[in-house]
Amino acid sequence: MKTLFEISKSGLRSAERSLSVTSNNVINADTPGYSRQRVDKEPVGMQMTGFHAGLGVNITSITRMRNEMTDVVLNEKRQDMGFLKEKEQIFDQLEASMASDSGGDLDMRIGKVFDMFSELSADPQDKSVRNSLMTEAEQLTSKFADISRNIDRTSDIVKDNTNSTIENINQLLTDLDSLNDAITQGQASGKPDHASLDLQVEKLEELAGLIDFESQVTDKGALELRVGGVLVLDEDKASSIRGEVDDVEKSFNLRLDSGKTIQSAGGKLGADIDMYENEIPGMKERLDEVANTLVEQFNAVHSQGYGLEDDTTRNFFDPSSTGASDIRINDDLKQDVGHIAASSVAGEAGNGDIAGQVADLRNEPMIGGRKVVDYAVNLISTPGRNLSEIRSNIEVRDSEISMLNAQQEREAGVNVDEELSMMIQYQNAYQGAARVMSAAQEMYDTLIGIVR
Amino acid sequence: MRITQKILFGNFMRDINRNRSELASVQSELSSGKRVRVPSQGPTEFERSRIIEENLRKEEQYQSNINGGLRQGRLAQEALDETTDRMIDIKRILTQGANDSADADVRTNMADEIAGIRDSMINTLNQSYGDRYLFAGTNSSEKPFENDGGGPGGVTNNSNDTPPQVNAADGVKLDISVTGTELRDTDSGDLFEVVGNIEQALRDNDTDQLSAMIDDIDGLIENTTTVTSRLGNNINRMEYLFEQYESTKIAQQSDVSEMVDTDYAQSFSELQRVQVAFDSAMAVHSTMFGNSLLNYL
Repeated sequence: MKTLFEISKSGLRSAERSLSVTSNNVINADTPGYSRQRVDKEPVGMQMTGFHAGLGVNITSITRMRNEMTDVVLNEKRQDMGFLKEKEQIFDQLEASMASDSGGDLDMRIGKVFDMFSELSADPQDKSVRNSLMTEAEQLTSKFADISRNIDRTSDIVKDNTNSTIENINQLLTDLDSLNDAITQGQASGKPDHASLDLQVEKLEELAGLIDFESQVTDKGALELRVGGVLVLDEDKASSIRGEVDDVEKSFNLRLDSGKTIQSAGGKLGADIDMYENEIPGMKERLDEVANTLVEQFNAVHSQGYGLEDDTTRNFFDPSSTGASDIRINDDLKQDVGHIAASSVAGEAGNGDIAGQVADLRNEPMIGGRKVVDYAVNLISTPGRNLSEIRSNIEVRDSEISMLNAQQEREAGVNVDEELSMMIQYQNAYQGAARVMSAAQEMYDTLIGIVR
Repeated sequence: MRITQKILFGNFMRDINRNRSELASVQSELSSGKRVRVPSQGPTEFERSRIIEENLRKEEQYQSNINGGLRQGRLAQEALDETTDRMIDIKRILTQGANDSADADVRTNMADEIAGIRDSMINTLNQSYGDRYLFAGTNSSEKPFENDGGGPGGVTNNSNDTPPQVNAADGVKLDISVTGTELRDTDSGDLFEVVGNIEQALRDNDTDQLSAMIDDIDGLIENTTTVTSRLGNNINRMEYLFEQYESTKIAQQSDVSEMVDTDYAQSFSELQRVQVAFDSAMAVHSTMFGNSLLNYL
């Protein structure tokens, strides 16, 4: 009869345990990285003479419900997403600095200068046309400088972003390293540390947005991470990453404290590095190409002609400029617009041949086989074209991620209604077990009453 | 299948965000009147529309060049017409002077009259547009004709033989006037020299010479009308080009508009659709979140 107490005691303990697990589930329903837990139980019994007797219930373990494979796939998608999102943001900035909805972009500025040369060819003697031409040309050069400056600024912001991203990554690696200690200890003692595992999920999720990695779990339960094939986190320690920037060559290297270099091609960091090393300098190079081509072509024609004042030939742009950042108009012309060459013959005020030839340059395929304005339009739409492509990729990734999230959530997520109904179930079980105990108590009392 | 609160909420947030961003884009389309404002909203349309706009800009400039050219061309044409009239006056006087009925005094008066006509011709042909002399060729900062005793017929020629031009189309340059040089250079010799000779013959009372000069003055008139009609052709051509630009402009502008402007009918129906989706998402989710076992415990 004593077993009655043991049975009810095990029932009470099991119900209490189960209730506490369910409560924990309810409370953590909203906690990032949390995986719901389930109590595994088995009946206890022993062989008696002639029969097998049940001796209550035993809690075997508390299981953490989670599909690790889904996590791995999800993190791959998140790396991609982090990469795309960062690129989206940077291209968005670049687009804003190159194209607007108000007109007045590079293409229009170049077109206006051609217009004024065309006007000058029809009216070469008119000072006011020359003044307008100078104004337009100056607006063009300041547009070039403006865009060039904006691109440089974006490049600097990206560089700073990269450094703060690396700091974040290092912090996460350190966190994951200390979690590794707790997890391996738990596993060794046979009591898995669910809280640390959940935290690890959350940290990995965060890390996946920042950098691309492959993950692996060792026999001891520790997490190993590799970036570009190089180990950055193992059972014992986390490496720290350092960024090495060459601002002139526009190169960005990642070096571990062990001295090894690693390549990151994904996540926010991968995007920042790609933008810093390739996309932004590429854009700048094309802008410089437009500026240099204009300088070269304008000067080639302009230096064949004569202004109103004398028979000296002059360049239109200062030929010493190196690109978009310092393109400028020949100072002589700025001081006296009469020096703008419209005529092909010295002293002929009504001759607009040269101005006409400069205006005709707009029809010449002078850069990359295209007219300069077409090329400029293409250049200023480049960030937008990338942006629209990236946005549609983001939409695809986003729906993939939300599908996988739902998949993981089905396994690991907490359904509060479900937990509440279980709570009632465990309450009932507890009441039942308590009832058994009080029945046993009454039986004992009866027995003792006889003896008295 | 287990559906957790988190799945419901996640889906709700995604749907709402998508609806909101669609609403934002419809709003921007309707309030700005533009479907493609920046390249990312339609890279191909943006690029093509800007290239067409460049073409439009170029053609508008040609139109402006043509406008300037037409003003100068018409002024030049008027001046030439007047010059022709003056020459006809000279011819009339010459014919009277060659007639035997006139005497030496009358012929001297006639010679004075011709000198006056010559001066007014010089004035007419020194016509300027702004600071530009119309008949000076490209040497247009100087008066083409100066009655200072130099040059043939006592009139100096400062004009060169390159006529001023405007760019009227890609690779098309049109003369907007005739040069003083080609105006003077006739089959009968230099214009002012012929006029000078007539004056001299009248003063000399030389009727034979005068009769012989009727052909010369005809030659002058013919030369002037030839260059006038050539200029007239150019004016017609400029007018034609201008009209042509005007009509292609409309076509190109509507091309651009089709590419980047808002289709209001479409955008408004889109607005209705997104609005309904947004409202129902809100309604269904606020109902869904009320569903909980907690309400019954």
